[in-house]
Amino acid sequence: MMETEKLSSIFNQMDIWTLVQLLVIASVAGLLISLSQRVLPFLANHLFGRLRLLLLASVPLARLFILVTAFCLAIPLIVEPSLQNMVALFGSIGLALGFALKDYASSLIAGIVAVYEMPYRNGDWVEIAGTYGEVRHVGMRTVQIVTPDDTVVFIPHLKIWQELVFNANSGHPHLQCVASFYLMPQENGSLVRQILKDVAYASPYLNPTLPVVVVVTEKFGGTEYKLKAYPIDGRQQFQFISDLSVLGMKSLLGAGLSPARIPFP
Amino acid sequence: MTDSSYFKLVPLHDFCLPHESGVEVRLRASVWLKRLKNLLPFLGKSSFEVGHELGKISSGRLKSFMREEDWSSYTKQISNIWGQKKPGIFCIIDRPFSGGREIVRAWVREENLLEICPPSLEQILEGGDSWFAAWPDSPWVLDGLEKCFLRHPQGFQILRNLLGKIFRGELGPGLIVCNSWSWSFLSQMFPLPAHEALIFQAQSVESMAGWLQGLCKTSHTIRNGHTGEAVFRNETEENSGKDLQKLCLYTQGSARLAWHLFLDRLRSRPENSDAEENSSDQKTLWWMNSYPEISFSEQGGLLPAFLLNLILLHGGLSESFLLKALNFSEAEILGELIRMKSARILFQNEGKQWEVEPLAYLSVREYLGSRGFLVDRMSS
Repeated sequence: MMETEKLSSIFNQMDIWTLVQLLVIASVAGLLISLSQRVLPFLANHLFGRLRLLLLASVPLARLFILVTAFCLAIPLIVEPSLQNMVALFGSIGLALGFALKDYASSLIAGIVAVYEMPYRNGDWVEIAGTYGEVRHVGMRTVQIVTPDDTVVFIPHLKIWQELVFNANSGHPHLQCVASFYLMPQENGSLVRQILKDVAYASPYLNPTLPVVVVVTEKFGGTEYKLKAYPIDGRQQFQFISDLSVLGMKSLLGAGLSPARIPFP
Repeated sequence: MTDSSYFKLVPLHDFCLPHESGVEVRLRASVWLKRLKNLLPFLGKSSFEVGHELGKISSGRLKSFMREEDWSSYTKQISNIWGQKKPGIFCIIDRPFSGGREIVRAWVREENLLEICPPSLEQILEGGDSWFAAWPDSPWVLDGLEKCFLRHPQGFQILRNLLGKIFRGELGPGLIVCNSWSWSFLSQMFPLPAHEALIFQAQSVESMAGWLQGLCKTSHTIRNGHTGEAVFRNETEENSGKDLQKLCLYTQGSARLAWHLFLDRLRSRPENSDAEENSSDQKTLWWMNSYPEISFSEQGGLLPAFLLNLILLHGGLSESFLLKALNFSEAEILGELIRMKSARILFQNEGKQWEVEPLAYLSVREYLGSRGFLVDRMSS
């Protein structure tokens, strides 16, 4: 009986005015979150490069800021804001979440960590648990990735506790692309490198201010040439790789160079 | 101010753009505002309505107001440098519509030098052997390095051969003119001798105002159509000359660009109101300082940007070159070219080459720059 009285003394008296205030805070917060999730991506998608990525990355930050502000405004209306009360309240909530909704709570906390640590931001190209695509939305519980096949994959944030996150551009507009070519080992390597560099500079997708590199590796059955370059915009990576591959092979064959005939890894 | 002070040939590393911090901030703000208005059409476009009763001036009448520039009056400095560097080769970088190329052409005519014709598409793709075979022994001028290659896998070898011959000193004394877009692009690919390159300095606010005023041969006063302030600076009016300051910064000190914009924005009262010929209003020309707004369609995807970038890189290209350089179908490329022609972004010159309209140049540069394309690095 005493325990129940103690617990009930944590909470303030709820009258109609308090309820109205809570409702207003929740509505305004919801409205602001909804607005920020529409307006910021809309503006970002009309911009290019770093500015676009910055705006996209600010979407979850804005949401977190709004939620924390709303929370700070709402708590004193519900609970008498003393240290003792807070410890008692959050301890109870934490216990309940820990037992009943462990994974859900873990994803929510990982979502907050993801906003702070930024292993992925909106607009980044990432690979998580074998899925590669562009981050379209960093939600409270999940991150939404759109694969090159235009499929949306929802990945819970808790994956960042267990899985490796491969981020290809990490908030930058620069995303390295690689096109591989396999030629017979006796071919003139210097000539091939020259041709492949010219191919990269000929592609209209190329960002010529960033390095163009050809990496050569001898493999069983032939020589592998990896043409590494950066497109102007990471969203053009597949067109860029296709362009490099088509132009590259055409130029190599045109120069009388022979592709490797034995398949090798 | 002497004539040569308007167009100064300086080493590339000494090149700088006109600078006026307060005006610059306002100009940048207006660019951002323009971008925002394009994104959010409900904000409405700030169309200029004050001067709706003013009419555009016919080209015939314009000729009576403004004289054509005599570029040969600026050639002496090239002659001096040519005299000093004669055994070698030197390079002049030309920013589009800066007036530099016109000065070089006037100098070539004066000196009666041999101009090297740019290689044909076939010569470019085969590496230029037949082109080099016809190289003259006498001093030469290559007016347009940007026309001597093509952004195509087989289009760079000719340039590699040319640079090799230049560095080995096989080509004799000569002058190479290269546009700033090509120079910026090729600098990423090849070790170009930037320390040897020269460029016409961007006009400062004062020199551009002086130059434009010198071209005016009218007794009319030119006033701002919004504010009524005098466009050219004078002692009696405190706020006079501010528009030319903005024009100079907007055009980044490119004289011919400013000239095109200046003429395009001049207005007058309708020509048929003869009764008031002697009134003071009739002695006034009005200048609208609202710059042209070009809208770029998002319909064609990346193709418009690729076309514009390629055309500026090569200082104008014919259809055969464009079709060879881009992996798009003929229908797509020609359709986009015609669309941009009707939008007054491109035009076809007498040689059937596609070029960017002078009045659209800055918008095109801004369009490409904002999309991450490499623009000419000489300008900010």
